[in-house]
Amino acid sequence: MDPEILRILPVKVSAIMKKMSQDLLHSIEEIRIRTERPVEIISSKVEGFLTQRATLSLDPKDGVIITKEESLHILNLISNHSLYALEEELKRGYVTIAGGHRIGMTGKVVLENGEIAHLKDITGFNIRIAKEMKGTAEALIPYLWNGNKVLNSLIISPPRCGKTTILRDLVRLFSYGSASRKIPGHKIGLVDERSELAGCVNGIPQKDVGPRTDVLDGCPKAEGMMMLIRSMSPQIIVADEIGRNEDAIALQEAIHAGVSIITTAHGATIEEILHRPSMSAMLRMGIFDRYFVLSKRRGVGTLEGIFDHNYRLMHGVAVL
Amino acid sequence: MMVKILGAMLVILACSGAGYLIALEFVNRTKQIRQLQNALLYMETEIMYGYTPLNDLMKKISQRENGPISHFFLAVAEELETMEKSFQHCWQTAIDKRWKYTSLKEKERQIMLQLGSILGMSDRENQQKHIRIALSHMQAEEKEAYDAQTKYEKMSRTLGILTGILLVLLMF
Repeated sequence: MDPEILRILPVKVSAIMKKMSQDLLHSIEEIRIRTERPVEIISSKVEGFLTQRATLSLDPKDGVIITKEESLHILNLISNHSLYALEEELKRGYVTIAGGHRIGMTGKVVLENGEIAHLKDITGFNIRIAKEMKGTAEALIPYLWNGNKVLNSLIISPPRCGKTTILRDLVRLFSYGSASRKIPGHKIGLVDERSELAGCVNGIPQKDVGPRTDVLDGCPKAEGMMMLIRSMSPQIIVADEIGRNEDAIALQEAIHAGVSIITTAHGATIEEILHRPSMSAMLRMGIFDRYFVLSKRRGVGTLEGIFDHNYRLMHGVAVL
Repeated sequence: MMVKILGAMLVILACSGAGYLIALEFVNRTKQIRQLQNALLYMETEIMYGYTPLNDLMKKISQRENGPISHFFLAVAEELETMEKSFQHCWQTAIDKRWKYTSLKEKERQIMLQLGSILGMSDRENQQKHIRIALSHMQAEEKEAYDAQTKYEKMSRTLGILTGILLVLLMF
């Protein structure tokens, strides 16, 4: 387990984690901490409450309870004792720590003029452990690369099916380029609104997004894309989870500026996406040349199909 | 006779030395209060515009200042590195450990303790408010310290030498 995560966990929890079987330890995806309630652990195989004996139990009564002081201390360690440094993050409800792990937080919301000003009395943490899966997107490359440019692509997937992981891997692959496939390295502008793709800490990507990638961290997608076109002359612009009307306008601007687009959207099928008003407008404009649909039918990262701009199937089911 | 003169010289030297040290305390107190004011101003900017977390901030202040004030902030940073206690606790421990090496008085200590209980605990605006309050208290202290310095600095030095001479005259 990443020492960065052990560092912020309460001492008694990290001591138990050290006793845990390697197999379980490495498959952990989420550690959920709730004040005065047991610690819950979600792994790719099992889930349950963490017990004293370093096993998982479905009975909450067996779980290790987190006290108020301990949860306050977690917050102190996440923020380096400086809540003011996390103002923006507390507004959004999550923070990215070194190593690219995301910690979601819940507590009492403070409103200002009807908008969320910040969170206080933070009592719930969801530590999502970031895993880099290098090479998962290799199989997609022939469909994205037409010999001299990257085709505008949309990755469609329900949550937790590996959409972000695959997008990050594509960024990495195109940023490095590939001599064997005769793909030159591309300048990539990455708009990382939720700090998920590059997992930046103080502006420095914690994940390998390639040597030619410029990251705009925490920036709204539409403005970010426009900003990158003006300032960084990217060849490819990458953004996660588009869906709003402004995004469509920004995407069009980008395409007409000669920039390729790779992005993602939530959904299970192309038909589903077509039912979302702002997304269907984008699709009808013919922005995208390729659609990649993911699911977890055969495990996370199952490729359901690759479709061309007329939604014709080019490639069927495969596991990435 | 030689021994007597030597003894007399020593007495005068010791007394004026003592007077000098007392005077130095007055000078140092004013100087250190000013250093703290600088530190607070710097803290304010770093928090408001730099979002600098407290552990880095403590180190930075310690590098900017010198003497006991620098050591105090360094002590806070070192306490924080143990990762086991709250900021307030680390701040308090550092004050307990390092305060005796400064020339500062109880009032300054109270101001700093007060500040330590809120640092890092709220949003930027609120932090600024508390730092400003601490600053205004420090300003009052500085004035008082400076008044005391102008009054007593020279006096303690002269008194030291004079006491020495008086003792010598009495002995002869």
